[in-house]
Amino acid sequence: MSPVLREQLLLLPEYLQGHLALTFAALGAGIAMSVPLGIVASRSPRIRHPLLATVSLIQTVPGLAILALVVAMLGGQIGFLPAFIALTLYSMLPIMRNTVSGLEGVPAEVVEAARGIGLAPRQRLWKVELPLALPVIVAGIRTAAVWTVGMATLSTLVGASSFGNYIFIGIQTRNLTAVTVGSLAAAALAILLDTLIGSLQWIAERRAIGVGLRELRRAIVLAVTLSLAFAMALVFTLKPAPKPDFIVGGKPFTEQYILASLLAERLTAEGFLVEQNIGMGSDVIFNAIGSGTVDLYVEYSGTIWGSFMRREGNPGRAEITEITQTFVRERGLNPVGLAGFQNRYALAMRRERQRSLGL
Amino acid sequence: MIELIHVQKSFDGGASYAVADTCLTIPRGELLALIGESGSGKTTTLKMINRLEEPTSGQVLVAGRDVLEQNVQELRRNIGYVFQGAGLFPHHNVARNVAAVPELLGWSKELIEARSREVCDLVGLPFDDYARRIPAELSGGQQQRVGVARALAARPDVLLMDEPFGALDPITRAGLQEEFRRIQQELDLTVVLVTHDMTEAMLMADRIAVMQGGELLQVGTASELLNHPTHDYVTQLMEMPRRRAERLERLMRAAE
Repeated sequence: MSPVLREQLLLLPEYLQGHLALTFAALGAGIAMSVPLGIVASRSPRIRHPLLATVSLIQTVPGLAILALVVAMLGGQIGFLPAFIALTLYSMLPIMRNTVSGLEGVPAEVVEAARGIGLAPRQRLWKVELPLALPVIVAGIRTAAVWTVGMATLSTLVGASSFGNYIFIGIQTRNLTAVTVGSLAAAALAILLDTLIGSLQWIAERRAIGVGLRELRRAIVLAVTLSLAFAMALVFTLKPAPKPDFIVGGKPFTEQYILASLLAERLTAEGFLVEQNIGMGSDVIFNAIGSGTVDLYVEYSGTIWGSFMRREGNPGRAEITEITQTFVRERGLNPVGLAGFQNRYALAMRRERQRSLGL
Repeated sequence: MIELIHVQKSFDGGASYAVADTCLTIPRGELLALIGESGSGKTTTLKMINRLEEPTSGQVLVAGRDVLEQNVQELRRNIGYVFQGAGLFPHHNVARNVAAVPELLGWSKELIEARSREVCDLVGLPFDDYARRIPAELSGGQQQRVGVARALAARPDVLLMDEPFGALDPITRAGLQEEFRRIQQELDLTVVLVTHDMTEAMLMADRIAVMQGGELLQVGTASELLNHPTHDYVTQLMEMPRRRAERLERLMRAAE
């Protein structure tokens, strides 16, 4: 095995754990909210329309934008929570929509028969309507699961680790192996979940037409339980993660990876426990340090000046340094010092062109 | 056993009546056929007996008690109901379909099994052969037999039937009609049977109630309706089976 590949595979447990935790938590919360809401919606046409319209609307917002919005709504907090909330919102549409259409698909004469022989409304729901609607509901969960696995890769950008870490870091550092490992892992997980839930759907379908499948069912339930237990075990046992003394942040480009690693190495050398959280956009990371989810990172005076303060013009280096440091202090942050390097813009061109332009 | 006292039902707040001012008494052990065209109010009248519909005004008494003053679930569990097209639960096998009401009533497992065996045998479906079959595997006639068995399982005194044999082929229908009449007499059941088929009504019922446009026109035995019809509509209705019978007789004689 190539050393590059081995290096990447060593990261697999951590990213898998993050990805699984996010996916299962979001899917679980999605089911817990969408099925009851779907039941309510199918009972009352007055609620159904606004409810379905709302979740459809959420669905039309691009995944990345949802993540960013949730971070903003949480006052800049990054990490597991905003990713979890965004993924949960995203998983709701297919589950809720299928719950509604599944319940509506139950033949009217069967529902009337249930009423006529004396089943109370709740008994009708549990004994007749839900079992008959279950195949359609499970199909919705299946769709949601595949979407959630895919979208979980984006949560790297708000500081929750997932297979997306492979992909984003790989793209920035031109590490094709990392990108490949991350993409394949995410795809494999999606296929696995799809197959797993697909078999549950098959069982629900057979049950809805009264086929018992006693032996087979037991086998499949066992398989599902085991894989869930395995997943849970991964999620929890792999979590040694003692609380770090410092979380070093970084934006998603090469220079920031180097800077963050330098900071982290230096702190580690001083005996601190350090965690790196790299891959956040400028606004996300600035909010993160404001809310305490990142302890330090390297920011650019130009970014503070232009992006955060929305100032234009160039009053000179000394003045910009002065003003931006004041701005940062006013937000309760501590500008530790200057990094001792600067990013400048330069123009490169052939000498003839320079002459002809008179530069 | 069943009494309808000035019962009315309106679905549009009184602008029109699906059932208008109907009085009807059905004594214990009688099989009464409610006959009429679609929209005549016959099914609505039937459904008011177990509160699948509730009367706008008037009273419905079953065994002397006002149905509106009883727990609706209990009322329905104590009245058998046979649905048009059987209305079996497609996700349950025959045994579980038949056991539905006894289960709701909290009977013991042994009691339910014994009773299911009894009613399945009664409707001509040997329990051991059919218990594990699912509705999708049964013919229409077999499904309706299960429907009748389910309605009888909890030993009700009253049975309501909503065009139970309407969807069946003529041969199956004739067989089931005869068999059901035998069961009804054996168990001394009070039955209200909704139908639009006068031949069925004449063959099965003790008395026939004719409905038209929400009005109950006439109630009587087949011969009363034949010999003393009170409305032209009743005369027309009774004409049809008579004319068919006469034609059939001529054809049969010609064939001999």
